[in-house]
Amino acid sequence: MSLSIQDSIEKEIVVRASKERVYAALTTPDQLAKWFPIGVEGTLDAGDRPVFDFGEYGKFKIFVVAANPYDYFAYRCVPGSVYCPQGFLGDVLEHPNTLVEFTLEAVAGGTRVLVKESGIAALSAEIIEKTLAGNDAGWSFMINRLEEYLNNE
Amino acid sequence: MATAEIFRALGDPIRLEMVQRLTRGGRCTITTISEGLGVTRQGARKHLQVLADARVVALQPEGRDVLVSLEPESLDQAKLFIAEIERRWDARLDALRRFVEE
Repeated sequence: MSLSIQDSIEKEIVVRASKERVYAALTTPDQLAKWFPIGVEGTLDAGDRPVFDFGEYGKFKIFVVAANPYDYFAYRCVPGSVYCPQGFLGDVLEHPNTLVEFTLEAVAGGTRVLVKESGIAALSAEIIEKTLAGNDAGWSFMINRLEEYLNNE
Repeated sequence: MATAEIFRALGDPIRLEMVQRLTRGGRCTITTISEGLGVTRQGARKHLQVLADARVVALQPEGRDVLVSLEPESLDQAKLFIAEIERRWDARLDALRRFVEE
């Protein structure tokens, strides 16, 4: 797959915290559960297959690709699954999945956090449709975002 | 509703450039849309057929050439999906910021 905006998205923020602090927030199950899934079962070392608990949206097994203190953390997941009530506990690597990569860089006053999600182009139509169909609650917000997105092209 | 097909169709630099040319407006034929892309007319036709199969573009014969036009509905769906993934990460990164800065 060639580089194109359609296959991957990148987002970044600069936070007022050290790389060590951010890395711990990403890779310590208790800390990750404070801001992302509501619970994490298992550990977050390379090769691990922990389960992210999204409460009413179900539980989802992921695959940790790399965990390199304090620079890089990456995992594979079946996305759109946040909106699949039944959850996903199968083998992530056996299904269409995306690669989520966090890259940390020290900058003046804090840390730049770059997140990249790639592999979007190869997802099944079913996943994409579920994702779009399950978005009623955030619809108006999403439309605004979409307008910004289109205006910035 | 084959959004995955749309992404696959757009996942090629030549096809992406063709679609970007279409979004800039104006009349496009196979000849004008493939100008300067370094592909033969036959190659351009194949790329456009992939886009047509994914319903990103419509092809309409016109004399010896073929008129190419966008099917905006399909493109909106692809953009919607990308926008949704971006929205999720915006929200998650905000939550991460609140957590590490508290």
